[in-house]
Amino acid sequence: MKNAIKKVAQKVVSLCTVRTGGETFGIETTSVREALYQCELLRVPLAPKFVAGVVAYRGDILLAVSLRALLGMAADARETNAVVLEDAESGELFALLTDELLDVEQVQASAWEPNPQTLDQTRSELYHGVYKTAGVPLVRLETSDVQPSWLMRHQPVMAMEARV
Amino acid sequence: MIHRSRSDEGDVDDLTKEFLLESGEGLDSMERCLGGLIADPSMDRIGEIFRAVHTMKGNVGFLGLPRLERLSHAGEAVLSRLRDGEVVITDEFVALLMQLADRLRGVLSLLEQLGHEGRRDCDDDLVLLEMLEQVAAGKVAGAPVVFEERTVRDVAGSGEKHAQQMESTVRVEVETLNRLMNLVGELVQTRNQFLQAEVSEDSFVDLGRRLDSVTASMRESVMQARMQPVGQLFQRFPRLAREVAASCGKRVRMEFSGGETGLDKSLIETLKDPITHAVRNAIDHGIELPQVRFPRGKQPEGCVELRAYHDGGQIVVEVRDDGAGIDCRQVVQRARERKLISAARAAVLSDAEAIELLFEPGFSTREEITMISGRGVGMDVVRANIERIGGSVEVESTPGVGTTVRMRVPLTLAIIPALVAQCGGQKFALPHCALLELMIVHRSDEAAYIKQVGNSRMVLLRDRLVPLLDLGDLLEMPMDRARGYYIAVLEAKGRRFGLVVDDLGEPQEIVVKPLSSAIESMGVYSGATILGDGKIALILDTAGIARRARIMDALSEEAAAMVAELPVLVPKVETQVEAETVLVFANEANERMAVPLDCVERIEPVDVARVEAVHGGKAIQHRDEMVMLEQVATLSRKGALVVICHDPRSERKVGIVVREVLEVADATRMEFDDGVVRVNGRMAAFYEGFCPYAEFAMQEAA
Repeated sequence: MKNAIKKVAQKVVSLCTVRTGGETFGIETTSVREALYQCELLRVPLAPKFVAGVVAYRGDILLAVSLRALLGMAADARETNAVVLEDAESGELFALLTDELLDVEQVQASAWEPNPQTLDQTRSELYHGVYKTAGVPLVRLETSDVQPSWLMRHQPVMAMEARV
Repeated sequence: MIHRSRSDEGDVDDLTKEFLLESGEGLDSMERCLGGLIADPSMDRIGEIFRAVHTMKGNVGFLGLPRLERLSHAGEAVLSRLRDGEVVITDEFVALLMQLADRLRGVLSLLEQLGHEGRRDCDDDLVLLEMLEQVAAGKVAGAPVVFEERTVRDVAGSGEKHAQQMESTVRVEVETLNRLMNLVGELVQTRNQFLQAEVSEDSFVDLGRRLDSVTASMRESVMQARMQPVGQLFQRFPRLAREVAASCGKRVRMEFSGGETGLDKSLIETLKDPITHAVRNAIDHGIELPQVRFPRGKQPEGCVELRAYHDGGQIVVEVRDDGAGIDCRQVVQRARERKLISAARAAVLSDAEAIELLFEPGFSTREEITMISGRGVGMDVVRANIERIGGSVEVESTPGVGTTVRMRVPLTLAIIPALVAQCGGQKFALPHCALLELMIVHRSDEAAYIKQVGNSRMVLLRDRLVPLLDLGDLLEMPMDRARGYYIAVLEAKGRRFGLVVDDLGEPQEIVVKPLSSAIESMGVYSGATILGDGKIALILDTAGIARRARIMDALSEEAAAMVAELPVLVPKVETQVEAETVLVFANEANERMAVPLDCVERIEPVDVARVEAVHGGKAIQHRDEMVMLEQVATLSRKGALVVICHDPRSERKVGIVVREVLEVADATRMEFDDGVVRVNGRMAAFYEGFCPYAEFAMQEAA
């Protein structure tokens, strides 16, 4: 019994870490298809705000979601590094653009804590809790919260803004 | 260039196989040309028929095939007389050549199956040869029309055989193959560099990228090699049509258009059965007997037309006949007999709903089961086949005029010709299908061509004002117009407009790649493509842009009035002249807009969750029908009010997203402006295309 508890406590999560606007985020390595450094981004005029543009990826054209836009930050030329994720709902691949791709880190599952109460509305909807680490806190991101099909529904006002 | 997969038939050597394939294609084109020979006896057609037989004759002597040699020799003699204009082209003459083509094909299939031409020493051969020789000697005009006794099974069988031949081989342009070869060379080179490089080297990332771009281009080239003109598929049908028509005692001519439209090979195969079915139906059910057609003022010969074209990011294949059309009452009655619907439902069915019954499993209007149709395998199977590949089927019919079966298939793999335009430093592809003409406007002669009306600009194009739309304004992009600019005149939904861009590039074939629905649902882009330099270009959705342009026109009243006076295509709306009851609603800017009440079917509050992205636009489902949405007000998170109407522009239903419905009342026409009416003392502008007076406006302008 004691052993079992110990095992759970020691469960390790592998996270692909990225940085945007000074904050560090972790996405489970298993959901990341590929990391793209300095991808050539094509802007899509009139697209919804969360769309940074499109990128070519293995002969396909992927939608690039801007993490900066999702966090309500201003656009930045540094935001060209992306992780390729799969939209579980539509089955399409998409790129999540960040300022910087960091590393793959192993963290203890037990180091996870829910979002702090003081977090603003935008962030509390996007963040999936925080891992306490030795350095900066590592925010957990879930693909389901940044995938285009969800963003289209969840942020209809944001999506429509550009149209009118 | 012929590619082929390894065949396991050991008894036919490579040379013979090549001959079989080539001759089969020759006969296909011969049959196709024969079909339209009487209507259009051009030298091109005759030349093609002659070449088919001539090439075969050349080959058979070499391969040692005496039976084919005799037949093709006699055929060539007749055809050379035809080429010299010494033969009168009659039905009998065409029938004789058809017989020749049939016989040649028969021998070819024996050759393929048995490895020799067949030993049966046919008297029929001698009869046919004798007839050919007589015609060649100028003694008789041709043979009486006698079709061989054949069952439809035979026809289907021979078609299948040929189809198998086609499935295992693909014709690829040498250019495509060369490009592929170049790419393979580049791939090998990149691999070598990889092998020599150290992982720590800086160039490693660059190499990786290069490898990525090479493989992506290779994939594209292979895809291009898979694209086949849909005309290849069309060629199979004249023969089928002829056989089916003969067995029903009807006369049918086939016409084709859009045969050059490229389709992925796998899609072509999937379309084969549905088209076969539709062609059979058209002849068996649609086309009337010659004696019935004549009194109706139609030509005794019926026409079945196969058309293929690009439309809104899809490929459309139409099978259209000029037959009797579908009798909706009969369809409903038949459905009742077969217990497919209840009596209560039968009483309230609309014509469109009745036609939908054709897609019910087990539906057939035929009393007796003929060889061709009526076996209960029907339109339901056609629909299932097409839907499996993500397409759709619709049937349109006008009693007495004809029926059209329209199949839409997705074009995820399609290649389209397009023009690359530049605006704000970014490249956009304009599909050729929407393009009418191009203009260059130099700063110096801008004043002569460009007219400013209110805040709208128009271009004077051969004494006609065409509204202009600036892509830079539309997409909110910076522009580079120091020396001048280009105008691409486009047509979408019957509306002509000029699109102003910074620069125009070369026309080129582009591979259409789908975009995320988050972008396609905007209705501005229909896809994207990767250009030769590896950069992405967005493909503009011209219809979507036109929709946007319409909103812009409405903003400027003077411009709207001016446009209304232009002799543009406005469909006629059948309504009474003076007193029109209209529904008045408000758009986003709280302007009053109106539609004739006759058009309105329903007003419905719609939850955002019900709005779906289809055809690059937004749509909702309404009683099993798709209703495309057009917005004059925003769809907010709370939902929206949608007025569902019959669109007089397209005869379809359309949902107008409005801010508020204000009133229903009688309208009075205003002087000088047909687009505006007075309702209860206040003015309201007709929603674009819904103005019942547009017809008069056009006449007055003329």
